[in-house]
Amino acid sequence: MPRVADDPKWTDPGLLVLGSLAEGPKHGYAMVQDVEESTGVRLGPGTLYGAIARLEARGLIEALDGGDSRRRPYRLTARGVEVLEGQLAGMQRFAGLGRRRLARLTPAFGGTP
Amino acid sequence: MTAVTRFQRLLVGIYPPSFRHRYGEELASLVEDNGSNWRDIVDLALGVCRAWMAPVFEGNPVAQRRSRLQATTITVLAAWCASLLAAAGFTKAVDDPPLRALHGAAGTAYDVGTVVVECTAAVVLLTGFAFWLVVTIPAFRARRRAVLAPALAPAVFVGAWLGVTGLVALFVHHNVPRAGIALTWPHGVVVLAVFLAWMAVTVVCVAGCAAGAVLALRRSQLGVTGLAASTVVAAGAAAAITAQALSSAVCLITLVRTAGIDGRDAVISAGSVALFVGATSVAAVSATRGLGALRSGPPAP
Repeated sequence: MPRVADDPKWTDPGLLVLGSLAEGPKHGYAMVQDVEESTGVRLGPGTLYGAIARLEARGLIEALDGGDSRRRPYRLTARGVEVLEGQLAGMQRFAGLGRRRLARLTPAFGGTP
Repeated sequence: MTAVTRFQRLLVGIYPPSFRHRYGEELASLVEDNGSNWRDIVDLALGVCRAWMAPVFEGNPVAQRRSRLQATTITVLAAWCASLLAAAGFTKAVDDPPLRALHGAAGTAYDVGTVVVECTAAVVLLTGFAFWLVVTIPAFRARRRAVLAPALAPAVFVGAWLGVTGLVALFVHHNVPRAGIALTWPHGVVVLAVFLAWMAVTVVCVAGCAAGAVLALRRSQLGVTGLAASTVVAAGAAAAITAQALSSAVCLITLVRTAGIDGRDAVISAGSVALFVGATSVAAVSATRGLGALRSGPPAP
């Protein structure tokens, strides 16, 4: 999958939102709670809706029609699933590589290989 | 309602209109759910800045492009109004009465800035009048008061400003000698108060004209073709504001280097240059994005 320059990075609130919506549709407050419980990161309202606006404009998430307009739920689109999978795969590769490198490096500092 | 809650609501209210229209209710609901806290205020304030710096538009690509062009037109118009106030402040500081050192490089820079201000004002006002007709005539035929009321507001503000300015001119004619007046109680202070009040009325009238034009433009739902034309004019105005900022900065620097300006006038002109630079930054960024939307967008429907 070609990488787009403004794809959400792993530090980006956008990725946290995508990761939260991977569990199923959620509204803003539910996303804040889920992200805080799962990652310890508390998304402020300005940060969250800035991320939601960017993700929706790029077609990575979409709002579900109907219900309370003050608590509108969002879900991942097919493109959003694709981008999230790509990001997670990249993170997994990087984490594996980092662990292997650390395993070689650690004995030099007296740790367990 | 606590002061923190009121401030949070205020911050939600100053997001860009397109953002507020799409996410305002949800954002306000989330802020209420989170309760009053200062951390959310900081986060909202940063969110407002980000939303204005890099606005996100809703709808299909054509609607997004239209919103982008409209945002550029409105933003550059607001920046141009700010630049008018900056030009007035700068002129007051260096040319009313004219500084002795206002010649050579400083004088040339000042003259260039003045010509640019006057030419830009002529182009913007002529174009604005053309757009005013495009917006007002259909609204008048359809009896759309929501468009007509803000479209007519600039005429009311200009009329009020001319009336107030006439009264102030009469007051000055009868109360201020040609040689100037010292700041003494009570006569000098009253004259200063009248001048400051006239400046405040000028600022309110310029802001009122801009607000009326912006509201009328937004409510008229002008098509992409019309907004494309206004974006091109806006890009020219942004370039002109940049030229004004540069010329006033060169003029001020030259005057300061030659010690040709006193402390009070230096402060007023430096404030004006700062306002010019702020207006230039906002206008240039918005115009660049608008021209980008013109080049890369889908064809107008």
